[in-house]
Amino acid sequence: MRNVRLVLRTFGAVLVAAGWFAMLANAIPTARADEGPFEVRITIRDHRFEPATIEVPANRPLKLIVTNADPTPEEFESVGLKIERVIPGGKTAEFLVKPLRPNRNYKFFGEFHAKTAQGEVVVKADGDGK
Amino acid sequence: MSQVALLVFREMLEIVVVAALMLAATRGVPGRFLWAALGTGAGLAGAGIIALFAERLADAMAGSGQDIFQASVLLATVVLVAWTIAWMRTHGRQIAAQARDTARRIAAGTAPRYLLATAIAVSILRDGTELALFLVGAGMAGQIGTAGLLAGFAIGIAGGVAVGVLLYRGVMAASLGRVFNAVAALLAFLGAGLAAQAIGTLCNAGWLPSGLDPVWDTEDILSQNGELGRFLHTLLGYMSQPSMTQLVAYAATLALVLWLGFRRPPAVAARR
Repeated sequence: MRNVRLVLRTFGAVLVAAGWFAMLANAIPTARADEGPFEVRITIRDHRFEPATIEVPANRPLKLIVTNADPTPEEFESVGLKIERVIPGGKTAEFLVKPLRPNRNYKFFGEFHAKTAQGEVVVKADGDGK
Repeated sequence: MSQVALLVFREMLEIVVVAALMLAATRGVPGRFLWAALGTGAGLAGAGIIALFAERLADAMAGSGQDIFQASVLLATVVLVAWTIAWMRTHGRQIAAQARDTARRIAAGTAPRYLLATAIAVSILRDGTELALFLVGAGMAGQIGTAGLLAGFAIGIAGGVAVGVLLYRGVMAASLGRVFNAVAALLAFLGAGLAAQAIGTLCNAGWLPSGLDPVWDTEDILSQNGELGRFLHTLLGYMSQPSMTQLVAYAATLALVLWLGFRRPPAVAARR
């Protein structure tokens, strides 16, 4: 009996959380339908990103095309963008990124050579991207 | 060399935290160290095989295959953690009560050692693959001499194992008798963090909506990529830029595992 009540309570909590989440998700600006993803090309060379700073428009999905021009593998990672993937030497990887809110910075780095491989995505103020 | 050591240590962290807490949770289960070793061996073999074929898998890995692999391994670890907690809650007392009756202890205690071994193996598979890819790449490019590579590797492994031993000893010493409670709580936080990480990856792959993202941003205050941030991320699931979906996954997993760990054991198991 006690267990049943606890299970119900847990499920209730999850449901409330899900509802809250759905509400918040609704409040987020979605991408304009007529625009495809904003493409950004990044090259890893000598364990550095070229370019290291990327300006992108807000509220638009992004496509990061990362080419590893080094012979060594690199782990492309970004905490804020929730990306973590190893790119073997000489290979290219693509990452789709959800529309980002304006005026924010998202750092990314190459975990295998974190001393030099550091970069940042800078999301411009809303409206700039048009 | 120090760079290699640091990288190895960072990749080791998650493996040792999983291993230390699972070992602590399965206290009293016979043969658990043997099974932990078997899990370690299986994980190393698997990671080595994946790394060896990495070049051939490269095209598959350039897509979202790697993300899905990561997310599946993370979710599998969460399931194993939750399962172990649930099992130990039900049968832990049984094992303690029959401590002197070895045959019955073995009969009662076989399930969690498989869970323990599998959890360690999949953790090594995930982080070990990354490590193996790095080492193979660095070795082939002649970027770092073999001696430096081996030394850095050894230092990193030693550091990781030291953290694991300290954590294990600490958890065991901190709450003698009530050790299961402490371990269950820590494992709940660990599982919640792993679940949130997996969900973040799935959101990115477009399988789930991410909701408000980020809900807060403390990357500049306590970077999730710094040493302390990384440790807190591994142990408790600290996130510097979590999305709403990740927070929901974190809370739901935490609630579920805590419930599994602290619910009243079913009467049958407690009485017999």
